[in-house]
Amino acid sequence: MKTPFDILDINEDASDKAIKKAYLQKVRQYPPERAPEQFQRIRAAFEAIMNRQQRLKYQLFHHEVPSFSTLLGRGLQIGKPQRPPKEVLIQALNQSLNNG
Amino acid sequence: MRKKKKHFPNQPIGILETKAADLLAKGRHKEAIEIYKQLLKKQPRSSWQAALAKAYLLRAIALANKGMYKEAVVLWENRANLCTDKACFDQYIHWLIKAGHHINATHLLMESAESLPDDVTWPLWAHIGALLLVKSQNLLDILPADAALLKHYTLIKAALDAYYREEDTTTLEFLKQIPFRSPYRDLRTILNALLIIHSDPNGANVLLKKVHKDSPYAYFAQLIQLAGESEEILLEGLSKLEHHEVSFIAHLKGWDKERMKVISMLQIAAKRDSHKALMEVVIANRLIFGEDYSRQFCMALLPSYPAGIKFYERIFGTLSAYEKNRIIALNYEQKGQSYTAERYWRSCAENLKTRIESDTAQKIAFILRHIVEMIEKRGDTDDDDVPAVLTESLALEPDDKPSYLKLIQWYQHQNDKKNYQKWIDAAIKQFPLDSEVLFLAMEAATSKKAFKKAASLAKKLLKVDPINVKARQMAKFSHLSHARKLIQFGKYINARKELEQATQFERSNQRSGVVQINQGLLELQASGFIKPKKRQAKKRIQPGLLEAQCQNGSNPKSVVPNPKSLELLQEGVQLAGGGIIGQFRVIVESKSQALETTEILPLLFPQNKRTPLPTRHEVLELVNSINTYTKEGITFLKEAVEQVKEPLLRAMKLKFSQEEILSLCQSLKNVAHQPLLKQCADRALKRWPGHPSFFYYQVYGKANANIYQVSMQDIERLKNAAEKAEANGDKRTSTMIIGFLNQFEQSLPPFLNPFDGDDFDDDANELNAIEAILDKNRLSPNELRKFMERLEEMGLDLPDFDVPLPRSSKLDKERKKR
Repeated sequence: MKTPFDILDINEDASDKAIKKAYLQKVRQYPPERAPEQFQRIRAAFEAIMNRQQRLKYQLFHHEVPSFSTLLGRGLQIGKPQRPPKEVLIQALNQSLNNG
Repeated sequence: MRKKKKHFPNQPIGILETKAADLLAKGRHKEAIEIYKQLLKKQPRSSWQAALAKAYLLRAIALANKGMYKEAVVLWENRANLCTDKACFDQYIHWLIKAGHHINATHLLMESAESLPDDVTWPLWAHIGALLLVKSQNLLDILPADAALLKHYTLIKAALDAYYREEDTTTLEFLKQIPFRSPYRDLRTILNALLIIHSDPNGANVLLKKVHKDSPYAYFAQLIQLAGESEEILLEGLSKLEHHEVSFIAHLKGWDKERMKVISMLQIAAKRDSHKALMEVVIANRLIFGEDYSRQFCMALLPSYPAGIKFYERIFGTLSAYEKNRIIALNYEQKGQSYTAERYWRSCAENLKTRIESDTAQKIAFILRHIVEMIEKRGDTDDDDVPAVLTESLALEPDDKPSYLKLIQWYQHQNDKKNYQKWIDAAIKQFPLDSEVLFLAMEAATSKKAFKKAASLAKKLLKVDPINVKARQMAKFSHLSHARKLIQFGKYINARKELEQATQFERSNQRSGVVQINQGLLELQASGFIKPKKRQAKKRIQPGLLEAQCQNGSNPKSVVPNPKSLELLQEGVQLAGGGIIGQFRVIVESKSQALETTEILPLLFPQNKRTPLPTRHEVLELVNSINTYTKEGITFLKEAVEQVKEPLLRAMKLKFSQEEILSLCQSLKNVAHQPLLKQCADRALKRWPGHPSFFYYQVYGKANANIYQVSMQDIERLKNAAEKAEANGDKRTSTMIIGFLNQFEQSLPPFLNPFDGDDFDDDANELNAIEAILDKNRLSPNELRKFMERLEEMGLDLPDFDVPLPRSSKLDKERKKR
């Protein structure tokens, strides 16, 4: 469930100015000519919360069924990456030699 | 259940040989092998032996492709007993490795290393090298001490140990010593990727993609790549992996046992694919997902799963009545049950009214507007609630232009002029510089004939939107109309100013001459040369007359036209395009000011000469001009057209296209000049016989737009014309004809309507219906008689009326006959 606030990387109590700043920053990161899809998402997120009125409307009427994948994203993202220990790597390599 | 082997004991050798060859060709190797074996038992022919060897090899390859390496090995060895060549020997070694015969494979590889090319032996050595690392340490004993593989094995092992100890520099040093030709080349690349996988995932991915798909490490490289994929792909991939592989990914991603449990729960929930399962997983693992995230997620889930409200409340606390209603409203909206959703939204608004938060009023206003949007989506545009709901929303939050526009549109549609103007005024007050609102206000003022106000609004609009063509036209029209009004009241000084202002809204290259004609007409009146027909303006006209008298010192009636007024009129005529258009414009503008054209036209157009034949362009311009005046609501266009009828009819012989004549006919129909319309249609029909549109215009003109004047034959022909137009894809014409015919059909009571099959016995009702038609259409006695005759012709039995109706002899005769 990525809200417009998540997409723009801002807090829900961010001011109009902060939202615009975050939006411009994101657009610089994903310009429309290089990343059209991301840009569309960023633009839609900005338009949904760009001012107080829009934020209130979003709060009242926006309804997007939270997808399984967003939850999954959250579930799979948490955790600190590690280096696999010897046995794990060797077993995985062995398994992959058999499967390959 | 094992399949029985097929035996062919009694069949002749020739048939068996053919059959075996056929089966081999069809890829049915197993059956071919059986027959060749039987044949060889009967006769040891070398050709059959070679064919059997081929069948063994092909069957071995087929089985190996299915992963049945042990069986493939046996078949290859069977084949080796039949012939001396070692076809597919490298594949045989590969099958040996895959079948677990590592030592045998290594021996064979060492023996044949010199006879096989390097590119064939390299993947085999790479595989043996991988086996050395993971399980087959006993292979070390059979490899010669100086084998390159052993040297590289030592290096890669040292690199791996350093990697486990997280000594990246040492790892890299060992990896650098492994040459490109080494069987550990791909593992070197993979280890390099693992070293940077967390710091530079894209770089790691690039390295992993370098591992060739035929390499024994290809699958391992793909496994590591999976760790960097999106959540959906990762979860799907995980479900297909073995335990050790999942564990490897879990380490790379940093998932502990708890998280692995969550992932497996998510995998199960994904299979159930229900909101309930999703909510249960989130709530059960809310410590891992985070309390806030879990609450938000479940809250977002509730409109799709309102049954979960109780479960949610048990975990995250009670929801307010407003929130519950909002969730249910969204749920019904989602299900497309708009009426129920509306009811819950109204409850939401009521709930909010009891709150005292800063944004409560705004929230209620938004909800009310949302309700109106739902009503619009349903198509209930005439719902009486709409204005009340929108008015309430604007009282709470007035800064919403669409709501004003909707209210304006609603009252305009309902023809409620008072409220329409009220909301126009309110919108202008709220959005004084908005071009859309200004334009609406300007239109409203024009329709009310408040031209002064309209002109002032047009000026404001042009300040906001200087290139708005419509505003420019409207401004010019408003000034002109206001000037006409002032001229009628004899306020010539102010009228001059208005006309002067009208010129400012004309582009120098698009001047129509209308302003100049009006200026000329004004001067003619101001100088007393001509007076309006309407004498009611007599008293007010005094200042103007005084002006004329002062200038000329004589009785207004004896004043001759001053040169300035003539100049202006001539300029206007020229700008209009001269000829027939100029004449037409002068006629219309004169009539607009209630002036007699007979006094003005001779000043501009020589009356003793016949008007020259207009050009095609001039006629088309005239049509445009007629259409523009029609849109402006000028009511005397029929009389104006009558005055240019003669040159217009003469121009009909010019080469007009069908579309152009159609447009002329439509314009004539709009101005209700039926005789001219008929004449034009007559001439068009000579050029395009049977054309449905022209036939319609001809009948329409002939009947003077009165359906009761149309003969039954023509009605039938009109029906045919409509069908023909429909068949030609000319929807516009067919609709037009049907619309005309419907006037007849709709005005008949059911018992007289040939298109209605219902019978009515009640004579009183019939009589009332007939009387209603007669009242509505105000038919003259003759028209009424014709109408009755036509009904009789149609075969309808008319009831006996007590009303005295004029009867024709024909009708009486018919009745007597019956």
